[in-house]
Amino acid sequence: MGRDTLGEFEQAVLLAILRLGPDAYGVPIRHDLSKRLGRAVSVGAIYTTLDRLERKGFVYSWTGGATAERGGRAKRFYRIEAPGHRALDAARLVTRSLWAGLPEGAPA
Amino acid sequence: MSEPFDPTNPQHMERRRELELLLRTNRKLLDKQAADIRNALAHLESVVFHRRTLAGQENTRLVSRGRFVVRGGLRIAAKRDDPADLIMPEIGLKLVPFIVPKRRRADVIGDLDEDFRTYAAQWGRPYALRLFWWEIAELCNPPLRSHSHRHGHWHVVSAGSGGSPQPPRPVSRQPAPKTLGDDQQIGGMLPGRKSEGFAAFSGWVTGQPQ
Repeated sequence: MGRDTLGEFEQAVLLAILRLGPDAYGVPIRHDLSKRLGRAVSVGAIYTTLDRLERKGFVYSWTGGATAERGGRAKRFYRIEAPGHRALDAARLVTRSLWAGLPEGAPA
Repeated sequence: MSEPFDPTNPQHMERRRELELLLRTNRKLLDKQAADIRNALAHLESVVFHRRTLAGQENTRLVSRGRFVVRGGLRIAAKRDDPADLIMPEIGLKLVPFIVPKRRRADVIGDLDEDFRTYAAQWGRPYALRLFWWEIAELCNPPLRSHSHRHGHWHVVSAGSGGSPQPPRPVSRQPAPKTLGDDQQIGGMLPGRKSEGFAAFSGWVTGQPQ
């Protein structure tokens, strides 16, 4: 996949980060995705995707303070950067363009 | 046809003593069973109304031997509040350094720990263990591991490059295509890969008019 492209899963991860706002770290991102995609999402899949998005400059991450519920380990929070917002906007445009002219509930 | 009870008949008296013994024994067992059920119901009520976690399963058992009820009532099968149940298996944690790069190790272990504690408290340790080992197996997935370790550490040598080291190539790990969205890549809009219908959108990537 190209440097500035968005796959479906990447798009879902970005939207989850956007939805969670300041509470976006690994566990809630994964739970949000599992709920919305209707399937289990593994820790590995999430961090691989987050790494890729970070390399592309779509997200920025930083480490929070230590927390008891993680055995004293810190959380790594994520937020979307401007290129990530642009990529999401473009993805939305593409989706709309692809569905344009088709009635809702059209047979696949 | 049953004959009327005759107190002078020794066989009748013997039969009567047997039946009295049976009645007393069953009454005692039923009293104990009722106490067990009351206790179990009280426990379940405390779980439901005081929002305590219910880890494990409930099991109703009624065991009879001949005409005697020998055991009955509700049995709570799992322990609830043992702090040791909330700790991840050590052997799994020892595997993580071999499969997760150092810079992501603390994040991954933290997530695993948080999930394990949550699931063990809500659904019991066996369920949390199943999820934990599934996560470990997913982490062992070769594309993820090779991606993680190659990036910045390994050089990939291809047959066509004369044996010279090539820069590491990130290996994308996409889930198996299940929906139309997997093929809906914005890469179709990039310069050099433009498709006619998407040419108008490619300006956002390069900042150049198309």
